[in-house]
Amino acid sequence: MTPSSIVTAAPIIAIKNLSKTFRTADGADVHALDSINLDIADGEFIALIGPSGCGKSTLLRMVADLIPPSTGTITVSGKTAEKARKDRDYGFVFQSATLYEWRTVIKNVELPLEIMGYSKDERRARARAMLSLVELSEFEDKYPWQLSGGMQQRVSIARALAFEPRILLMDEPFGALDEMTRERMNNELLRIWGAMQGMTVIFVTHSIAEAVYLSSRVVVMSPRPGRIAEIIDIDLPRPRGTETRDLERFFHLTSRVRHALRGGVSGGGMNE
Amino acid sequence: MTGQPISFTAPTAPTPPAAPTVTLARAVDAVVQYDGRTLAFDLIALAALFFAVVCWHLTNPLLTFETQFGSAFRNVTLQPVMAIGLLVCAGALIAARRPIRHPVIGAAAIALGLVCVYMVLAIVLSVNLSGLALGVEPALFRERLTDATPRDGLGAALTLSAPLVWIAVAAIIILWQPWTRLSVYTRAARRQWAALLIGVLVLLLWEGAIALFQIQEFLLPRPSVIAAAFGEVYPRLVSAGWNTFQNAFWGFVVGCGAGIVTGMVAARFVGFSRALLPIAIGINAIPIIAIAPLMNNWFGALNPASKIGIVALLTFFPAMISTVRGLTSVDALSLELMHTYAARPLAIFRKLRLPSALPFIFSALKVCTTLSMIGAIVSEYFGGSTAGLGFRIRDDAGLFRYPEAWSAIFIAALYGILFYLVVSAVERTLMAWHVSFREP
Repeated sequence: MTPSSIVTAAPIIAIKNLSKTFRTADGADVHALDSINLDIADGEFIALIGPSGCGKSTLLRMVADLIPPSTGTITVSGKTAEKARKDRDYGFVFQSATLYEWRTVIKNVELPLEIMGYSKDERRARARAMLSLVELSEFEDKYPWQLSGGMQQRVSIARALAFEPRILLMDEPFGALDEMTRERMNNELLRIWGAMQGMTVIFVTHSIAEAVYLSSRVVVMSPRPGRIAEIIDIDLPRPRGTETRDLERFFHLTSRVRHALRGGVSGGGMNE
Repeated sequence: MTGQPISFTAPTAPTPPAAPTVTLARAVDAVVQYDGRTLAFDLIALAALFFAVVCWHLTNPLLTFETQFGSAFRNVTLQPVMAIGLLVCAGALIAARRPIRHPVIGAAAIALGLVCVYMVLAIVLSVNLSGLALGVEPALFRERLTDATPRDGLGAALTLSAPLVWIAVAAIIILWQPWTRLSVYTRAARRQWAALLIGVLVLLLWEGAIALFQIQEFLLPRPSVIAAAFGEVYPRLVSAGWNTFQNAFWGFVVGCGAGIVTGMVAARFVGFSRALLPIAIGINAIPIIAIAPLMNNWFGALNPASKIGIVALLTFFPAMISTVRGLTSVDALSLELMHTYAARPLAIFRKLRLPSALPFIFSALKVCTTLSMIGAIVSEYFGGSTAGLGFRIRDDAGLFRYPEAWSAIFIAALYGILFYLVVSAVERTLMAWHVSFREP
C-alpha cells in the first residue's frame, strides 16, 4: 500500500481484511475479493477502478450492506455496515437509473422520503430542491420513459440525495451513457458534490479519465482475487472543469492509473 | 443544462396536464384521452346517448312496458345500472372537456349534469317531476299498466319529460363535438378498414353460401334471418343476459378477489408459494366447468350460488397464479434500492411489489371476464333458473328455434365484450403509466 492511503483523521469508512468468496451454482468457490484494507476520510471522493470481474462492485455492495462479507469488517463512523444502512447513511446510485415506471419524476425522488416517513410538504419541498439541483425542475410531472438515459440517471441521483445521506455510493452510474453525455454528467456530479457539503462519495467506474477527473483518490484494483493494486492521490486543483482535462498533470495521472491497471491485469486487454 | 439533448420518445405526443393533485381528472384522462387519437372518447359519448334514451324509456311505464326497446331494460336490477351508467358516462364527458372555453359548452355541461341527477332520482327513487306536476302517483311510474291506470296522465308526463331527453342528447353532442374529431375517424378508418371489410365479406359470404348451397336453416341460419329474429326477441334476451351476467359478475368478484388475496399471502411466504404453485397450475388444467352438475347438487340448481360458485372456481386459479407471478417477479435492482432505504416489508409490498404486479393481475382479470361468462352460461345448461341466457340457448336450440339461439349467443358476446371493456377501463386508470398505453 502506498503511503498516500494513510489517513490521519478518523476515517468515516474503515475496511479491514475484507474478503469475499462466492459459491457458484456448480459448487465451485470463486474468490472475489481478498484482504482489502481501505480507510476513507469524511468528505472524500473515492474512485474504485479495475477491470471487469475485479470485485469493485462487490466491494461497493458490501459497504452498502447489500451482500455480507465472508471475512473482515466494515466500520462506518463506528457502526457496522448494517447499522449504517438501517440508519439511512447511504444513498445508492445503480448503473441503470432504476426509476419506478409507475411514478412521475418527482414521485420517484419522493420515494425514499415516503419510506422514511417525511411529511407531505417536506417531501415536496426536498424533491423540488433536488430536482432543481440536477436541473430537471420542468420535468417533475413527466414519467421516466419520457426522459433520455442521462436525464433518468440525474433523477436517480436526485433520488439518492433527497434524504441527504452522509455517504453516496455509485456503481458505474454513467457506464451506459455515451462519452459526450458522460463528460457532461461528470461536471454535473462535481457541482452537486460541491453543493452537498462534506458528503463522502465512493464511485465505481471502469473509465480511467472519469476516475481521475472526479476523485480525490483513485483505488486501482486487480482481478482474481480482487486486491487493491495501488492507491493514487489525485492532486488536481478544484474546482475542476473542461480545462482540467487538458492539464499535463491530468495526462500524467491517467497514465499512472493505466500503468497500475496494466500491472494488475498482466498483459493488457483493458478497455478504457 | 444548455445543450443537453432532450430526447423524448415522441416529441409531439400530448403530455398529461400538470395537475398531479386532480386525481379524478387524471383518471378520466387515462380512460377517455380526449385529446388522444383513440375512439374511447367517442365510445363514451355514444354510450351516454344510449343511456339517456334508455333512462327516458324507464321513467315512464308507457315506454317501459309498451315499446320493445323499453321492455328490453325493464329488468328491476338492470334499471338502476342504466341510470348509473348515464351518470358515469356523462360525468366522464363533462370532466374530459377541460378547460371549458365557451359558455355554450359550460351550459351544456351544467344541463347534462342536472338531467343525469334527475334521471337517477327518477329511476332509483321514483321521484318523477313531470308526474308530480300532473298529480300522478309516483308508484305508478314503476308499475305495469292496468285498466285502472290514468293513461292520459302518464301520456302527459311523457310529453313533459320529452324535452328533458332532448336537452340531454343535445348537451352530449355539444360536449362530444364529433365534427371536431373527423381526423380521428379518418385515421381509425384507415387503420381498421381491412378488419371492417373482412367482417362485411364474411357476412356476405355466409349469406351467399347458404343461399347457394341451400344449407338447411337448422344447421346454420342466414345472418339476415338471425338479424330479423334478433329484432323480435332482443328484449327478452337483454333481460336474460343481464341475469346471467350478474352470476358471472359476482362469481368473478368472489373468484378473482379470493384468488388475488390468496396470491398475496402465497407470495409473502416463498416456500408456501413454491409448494402451492405447481398444484394450482395442475388444478387450473382441470376443465372445472365439468363440476357444474355437482355444484347444482351442493347448492341446489335454482340457487344462483351454484352458478356463482362455478364461476368463482373457474376464475380463482388464473387470478391467484398471476398474482403470485406478478408479486414475485420483481426487478432485482428495484428491490435492492428498497434495501438501501432499509424499507420495511409492508412498504416494499405497497410501493414496489403491488404496482409491478398490476400488469400481471390485470391480464388475468381480462381473461377471467371471458371465463366468467362462459362459466355462467354453461352452468345454466345443467339446469337452474329459466331466466338466464344459458337456459334460453338450450331451450331455443331444443325447440328448433335456431335463429333465436344465435341471437342469444350474440347477446352473450355483447355482455362479454362490455365486461372486458369495463375491466380494461379500470386497468387504464390504474396503470396509465404502463408501456402498453403510451401514445405511439
